[in-house]
Amino acid sequence: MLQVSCWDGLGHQARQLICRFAEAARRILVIRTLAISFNAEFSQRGLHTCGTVALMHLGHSIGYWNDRGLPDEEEWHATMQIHNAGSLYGLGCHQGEEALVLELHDLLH
Amino acid sequence: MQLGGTTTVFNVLEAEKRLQGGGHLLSIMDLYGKLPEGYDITQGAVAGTLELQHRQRRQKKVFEPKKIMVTVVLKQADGNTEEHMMETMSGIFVFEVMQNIPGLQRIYYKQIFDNEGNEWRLDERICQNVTFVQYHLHHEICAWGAVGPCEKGLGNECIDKWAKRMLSEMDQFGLSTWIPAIQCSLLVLHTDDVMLNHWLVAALHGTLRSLGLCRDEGHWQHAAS
Repeated sequence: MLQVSCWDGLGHQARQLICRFAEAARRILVIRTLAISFNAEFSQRGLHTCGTVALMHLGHSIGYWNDRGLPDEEEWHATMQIHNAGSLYGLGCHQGEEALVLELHDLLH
Repeated sequence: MQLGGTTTVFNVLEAEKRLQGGGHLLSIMDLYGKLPEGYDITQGAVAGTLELQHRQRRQKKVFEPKKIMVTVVLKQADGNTEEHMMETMSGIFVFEVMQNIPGLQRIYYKQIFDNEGNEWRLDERICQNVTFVQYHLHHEICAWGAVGPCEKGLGNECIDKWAKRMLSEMDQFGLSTWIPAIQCSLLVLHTDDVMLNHWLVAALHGTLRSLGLCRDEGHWQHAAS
């Protein structure tokens, strides 16, 4: 049996996408049974903290917080911002504004 | 190899093809075999190390070096033009020519045209006399203005770094295989059977873990299988 666990602090809006992905994995592995679970141990409180909450969920699933104190979502997010890098970002509610900036950028150039 | 951001197998093969000047069959492999063109090599191989394979084509075109004349026409702010001519050996790259022109070094261009209307890339080799007459600055790096420290979501590199640190501290590396967040995001959006198979085989007796970004919503989620 192939077990797929998905953790999200905002109500699992992408269930269909996850199901399609899990089904592809099942088909490739030629396994008959597929079990998908949608879990949430923490609810996302901040606007841009989905990555932080996802990492908190990773920690929960590997028992990382058993011997350590669970960090405050906003505080940990601020700590991780110090060396925040990448080409893909969780944009949260700022997505609309960034799209606007991109449009303006295109107009100006 | 120094990479300037997200780089796929296709990008590397294309660059290598231009560097070699043709005549070779190229492929990139890891422990499980040839990697598809869309695979992002920024995070390394799925398993083992990345290997670039060269095989010489049977009918390789013989490249004969000769002297050529390259001219770059610079437009000044006052509307006048200034011509820079250089005699060089054929096979020189366009970017090498640009680097030799005073005032053009260390700047990136796109839409480079010669006087016959042909468009050139910076990494193309020049094999005959040419005159470049037009080029535009390539705006790839832009300032986004001041953003408060907490008003930004986490980036994929930051997520990978913290996730690996957590897995390492829990001695999970033998049990869990981590898919770099950027690759997981691409896999979830555009399921690629070859790549997915690669990762599933890599984690056959353990757990495959990652954080994927659902791009429509710009939202990170954790998944394990």
